[in-house]
Parts: sequence; C-alpha cells; structure tokens
Amino acid sequence: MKLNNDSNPDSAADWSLLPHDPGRFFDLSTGFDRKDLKRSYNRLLRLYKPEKHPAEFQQIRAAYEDLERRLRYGEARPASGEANWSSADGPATAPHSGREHSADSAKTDSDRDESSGGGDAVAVEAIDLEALAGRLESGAESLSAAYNALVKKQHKTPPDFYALALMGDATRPPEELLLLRWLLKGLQSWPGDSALSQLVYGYLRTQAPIETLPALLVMISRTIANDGFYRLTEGAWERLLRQRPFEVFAKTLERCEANVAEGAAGDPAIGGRVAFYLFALRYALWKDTRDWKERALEFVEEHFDQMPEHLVNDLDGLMIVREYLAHRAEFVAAHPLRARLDAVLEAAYTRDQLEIDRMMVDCQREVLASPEAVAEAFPATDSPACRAFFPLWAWLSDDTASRLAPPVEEAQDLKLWKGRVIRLLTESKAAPSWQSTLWTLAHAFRGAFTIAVIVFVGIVAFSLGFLGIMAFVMPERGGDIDGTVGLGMIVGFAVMAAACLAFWRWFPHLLKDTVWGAFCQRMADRCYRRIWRPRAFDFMRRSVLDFFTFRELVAQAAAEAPPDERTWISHFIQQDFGLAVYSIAQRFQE
Amino acid sequence: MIRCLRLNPMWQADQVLASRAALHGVDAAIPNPQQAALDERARKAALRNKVYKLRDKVWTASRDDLRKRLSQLSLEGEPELAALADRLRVIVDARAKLPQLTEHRDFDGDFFECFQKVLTGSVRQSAEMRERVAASFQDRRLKKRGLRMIKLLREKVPELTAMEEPWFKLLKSRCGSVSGMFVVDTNVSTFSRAWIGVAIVLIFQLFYRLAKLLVEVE
Repeated sequence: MKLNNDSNPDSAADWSLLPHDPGRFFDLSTGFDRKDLKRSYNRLLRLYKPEKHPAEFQQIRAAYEDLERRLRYGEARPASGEANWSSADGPATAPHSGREHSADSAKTDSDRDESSGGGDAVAVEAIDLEALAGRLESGAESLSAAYNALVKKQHKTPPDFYALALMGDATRPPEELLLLRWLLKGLQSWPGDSALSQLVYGYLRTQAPIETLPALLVMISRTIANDGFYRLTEGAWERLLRQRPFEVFAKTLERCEANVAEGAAGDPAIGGRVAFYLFALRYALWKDTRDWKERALEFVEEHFDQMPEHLVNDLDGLMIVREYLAHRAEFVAAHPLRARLDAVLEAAYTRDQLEIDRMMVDCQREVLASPEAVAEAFPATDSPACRAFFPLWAWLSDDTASRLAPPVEEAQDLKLWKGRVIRLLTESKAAPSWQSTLWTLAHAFRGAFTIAVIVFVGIVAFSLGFLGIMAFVMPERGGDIDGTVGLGMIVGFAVMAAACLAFWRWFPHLLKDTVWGAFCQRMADRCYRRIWRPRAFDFMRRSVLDFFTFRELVAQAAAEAPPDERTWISHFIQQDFGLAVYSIAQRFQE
Repeated sequence: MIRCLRLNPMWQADQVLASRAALHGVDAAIPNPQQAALDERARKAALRNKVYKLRDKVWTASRDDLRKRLSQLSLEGEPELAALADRLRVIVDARAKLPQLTEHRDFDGDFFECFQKVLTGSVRQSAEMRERVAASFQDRRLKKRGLRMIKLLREKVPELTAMEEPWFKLLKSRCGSVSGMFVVDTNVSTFSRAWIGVAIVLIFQLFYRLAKLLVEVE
C-alpha cells in the first residue's frame, strides 16, 4: 500500500498538482503501483461523483488513464520536455528534439515548418491560446491568417502545435490529417508531452476511420520511431484487434516494428514493447490461431528480468488465462451454463468495458436465478478445468462488482453465522435419507463384521495354542491330562488374547485402507450431492455470506466436532466451485 | 473549434475531439470506452441511491409522497432495482392496515419490528435478521408468540407476508423439526454415546437379574 499514511482518506483533491504531478494528486508516495493508483482513483471517484462534479470527474479520469498508461509503459514521470499547459503563455524551454522525419508529410503545411524543436535547447515563447481565441472570435484575425502566422513561428511549444493542429484541421479537409500531423510533429519536438499524447491517443482510439488505421500506424511508426510508439498508439491497436481479423493486426505490427527498429537503432529501451505485448496478448491468447502469441510470449519471457513488478503480475495473469484456455474445451462442453460463463470471460479480454459489464451482470443474474443449474454445471467433484476457470471468474466478477454492485456493507455478525453453520452441519448430518441409512447400516455391519472376525481369530488362536500344548507337552508329561489341559487352556487364552488384541488394533486400519475408506468416500460423495449440497446452497442463498467466510466457518465447526459426517461435509464444501460461483453472484443482489 | 483553444487537452481531450467530430460531421459514435463504462456506473449508482433513500424512509414518510417518488423512478433495464421498487410500493400500500394490527391480542411488537427490518433492510441486514428470528424460535415461548403473529400477518396483510413467504415457511418448518427439539447446536456424538452408556447399564442389569433368577431356581 503506497498511499500517504498521514492523509485523510476523504480529503479533497489538490487540483494545482495536475497535470504535472499526478502521483501526488492521487496522494501516492514513492514506489506506488497500479493497484495503489486504482485504489486512490476509486476513492476520488467516490468524492467527485460524475453527476455532481462532471468537470472534476473528467479531469480525474483523464489523469488516471494517462498515469496508468505511463505506469504500464514504465514512464511514471512526465516527460522531461513537457510544457506547462496551465500557464501556456509563459516562456518554455524547447528540448533537444528527436529526429525529424517527413516521409509521409511532404505535401503538408506541417512540413513547411523548418525549425520547430530542432537543434539545441532554446528559450521559446508559448502562444497565449486565450488571446488567440479572443482575436479569432472577435474577427480581429482570420483563422487562415493566424494559422499561417503560427506556421512560420521559429520555435514552437506544445500549445503552438496544439493551436496549429486545431486551426489546420478547421481550415483544411479532414483527409489531409492536419490534426494528427501537427500533433505528431509536436511530439517529435516535445517527446512524451502529455497533452499532445492524449490527443493523438484519443484521436486514434475514437476518431480515425478503422480502415485507415493500418496505414496511419505505419506512418506514425516512421514519425515516432522509438519505444514510446507503443504507448502512443495502444488505443488504435485495441480497435484493430477488436474490429479486424487478427492477421491485420499481426501484419501491421510487423511493419511498424521494422520502422521502429530502424528508427531506434542503438536505443536499447524495450519496456514499451514488452508492455504492449502484454496488452495485446490479452486479446491474442483468445483469438490468435497462428503463432504470434507464442513469439510474443517468448519475447516477454526473454526480457523477464527487465520487467517491473506490476508487469510481472500482468504476465502471471496471462499465464492463468493460458492455463484456462488449455482446459477450455473440456470446461465448456460440460454444461450450457459453463458456456455462458466462458463467453463472458472471453468478452472480458476482447471487448469494451461497457459490453463486458452488461454481459457480466446478465450472467450473474442467471446464476442467481438458478442455483440448481449452478450445482449441475459445477459438480462437487474436483476438476482441473474448474480449478483453471475459477480464479479468472472470481477476479473478473470482483472487478465488475466493485464498479456495479451495491457497496459492501459493514462487517457481518460472525458469531451468529457460526451458530447457524453449526446448526446446518448438525441438521445435514441428521437428515434422513436412503444414503445415510445405508451408510449407518454399513457402519453397524462393519462393527459386527470386525467383531466376528476377531472372534474367529480368537477361536483359531485359542485352538492353535491349546492343541499345540496338547500335542507337544502332554507326551513329555507322561499323560498328565488334567495338568496339560489346564496348561493348554492358559496358553490358549493367552494366545487368543494376544491375537485378538493385535487384530483389534490392526484390522480396522486394514479395513479402512482397503474397502471401508473407498466405500465411505463413495457414500459421502453421494450424500453430499443429494442431501448435504442442496442444504448448503439453500444456506448460501439465505445467508448471503461470501463463500470464503462460509468455508472458514464450516471448517471451524467441523474441526470442533468429532470426526463424522460433518468432517465430510466440510471436506466437500472446501472445494465446491458451484457454491463459490453462486456466492459471487450474490454480490450483485440489490 | 475556436472554443477548443480555451480547453486544456491534458484532461479535456475527449471534448476537443468531440468538437472536432462535430465540425467535420465525423461519426463520433466510438465513445471513449472507459468513459462510457464510468457513465454507466454513475447512472446506476445514482438510481440505486434514489431507491435506497426511498427504502430508508418507507415506514415514516408520507405515503402520497412516496407513491409519487416511486412512480417517477425510471428503472428500465434494472430488474433488481425495479423489484426493490415494487416491494416498496407494496409496503406503502399496506401501511394503512398496520395500525389496526397493533390492537389485536396476538400482535407481537418485537416480531413486527424484525419483520420491518427484513422487509426493508439491505440484502445482508435482512438475511441476518431472518436468521436471528429463526434462531430465537428455539425458545418455545418466543416460537409460540411468533407463530401467532405470523398467522395474524397472513390474515391481515397477506401482500406483505407474500414477499417473505419462504422465510415464514422456514420458520414454520422448524417447529416440527425433531433435530431442532433435541439437538440444538450440540454434539450429536456425545448424545449418542450417552445412550450407549444407558444401554450397557440396562444390559448389565438384565444379566444380573437373570443370574439371580437362575440361582434362585437352583
């Protein structure tokens, strides 16, 4: 946990920290990760509800998205060349730019700009956007005149590029892509500028026509030919992955990677590429039928040592998905409800958040409406497919519930629930049924059988002892019958007692290890499926306890009772994925 | 577009792009997916707050006011909240009959208070209250009072009891439960062992009497 400890969890946000210090804005201290960020983000969303504070809400979301992406791509701090947008009219220092490139923009106005950002650092005057807007609104200056004047400006700041992008886009047809070209030019001069990056990212994610995306991406890979290319264009790749066949993605990426490799020759940075692969693999694992995913995983694993901790977590998450996909066919074939859950899982990795949320809520309703179907879909027997499925389902449901389910309430009265769980176990144990009667009879039979065997062993042992004495000792005693019989009786009883005692200790274990153990397992399994499990489901429905609390209470109650049916009930409940899935759905109840 | 010059693209990029889409007549139908999900979350949270506020005052606020507010709710696509609103409507309508109930000799104020909490508590609060009452039914006196009250409620406000019918059935079924009468959260094996002890004593007594009888006969 990397939230500042001395801060009030409900304290209002310090807006002066945006956009230059989003980490402090989110009240995070050094070394924070994405989990800390998300926690803090959710706290702020609770404070600034969108219906009451729409402007603040939007700022928080934008800052969160930007910082989250930066964290994922290993650029948690704003770029060194970032301009001060909050005082756009102040002087700024132009950084040493990246290389200039104009292969795709030779015929545009943006390429007539010859001086932006090139050369050594120089003090530059940023444009006063407010004043410019005033002049344009009042008619003191025409749009095209202002645009042409700005194009000629020697050293441009990000606000200059922003103004050029807006004015160029307004004066020329959209096909000329002046908005994008000026923004990219700005990013060439001011690498990593948050505002320009946000605009490019947003444009690619929401406005660039899907059919033009491959060409645009290739063009951008020539302009921003470094590891930052991947972060900047992630939104466009996401659209390609979702709306075009996977081959389009793979081919376009291949071309872009070649351009980036050529442009970034000698630059060892691969953090952006690794983060991007991890992002694309979320989708590729489900959709790629060729070998891209294998190559990508290989690349990621090759650079495992250089990955930050939170990306290792992402990789672990992907490995869990991979494990599930290995059992997917088996999982889905077992029951229609499982196919529904699988469809939601797939959507979670391949579709938009809104659609995922809707599918998830509908599916949870279905689960909640029919515990019988859940019990049928997830039999009490352990299965690798269910084991692979459950962590993904639990994580995804929890994520959706944290956004859409009613807030989690105050602590439950565990003392009350423990009493009720004890009662549940006791009543389940005592529940009359054919299975339990058979089991009880089998217990009685086992006792009688054990006694019969011991009696038999005792008789045999006695006979052997007695007859042995009679056969070997009587001739030596010269026919002293009375004395020998007495001795034979004593020895016979002694042998009998020893044999019975040994058998009493040993035989039940032998019986348990061979027949009885397997029989009990089978009977317990039947009893659980037919008698105890419906009661457990009914209890879950009534109690609305979360599965892990219920499981813990059952384990405690069973441990406090002597080893009997309650131990079996607890044993089965601990591994019952049906109960767990049903319990998760209960979080969505209103 | 000029307006966009006054926006800060750092956190108003969506607005800038939306203005641009409007300018060019570009299809801006691809919303920011994160924003769309957040909007949906906010919409649902706002609706939930409205319904929960009505739930909190359903026993105290003016019935006409509650009816009006409930009718103003638009809960399409939210079946859980719609079901909760329907529940509140039934309670509001039934409230008029409740004062007469209190005069009945079988009326049990404690049980009724619990019933109110079950009807209008949150999911977990209601579940806890139901189990608390079920646990209290182990006390014969409370059980008797409770059963009378359930009967009264079923007669006078069937629309309210219908909403909690499974719970009432559970409470009634507990009455005839043998395990409920003899084994109350205790250890059954201890109970069984006690019976085995008694049986052994009886068998010894039987043998003793038989031996005594045989001696007497001889």
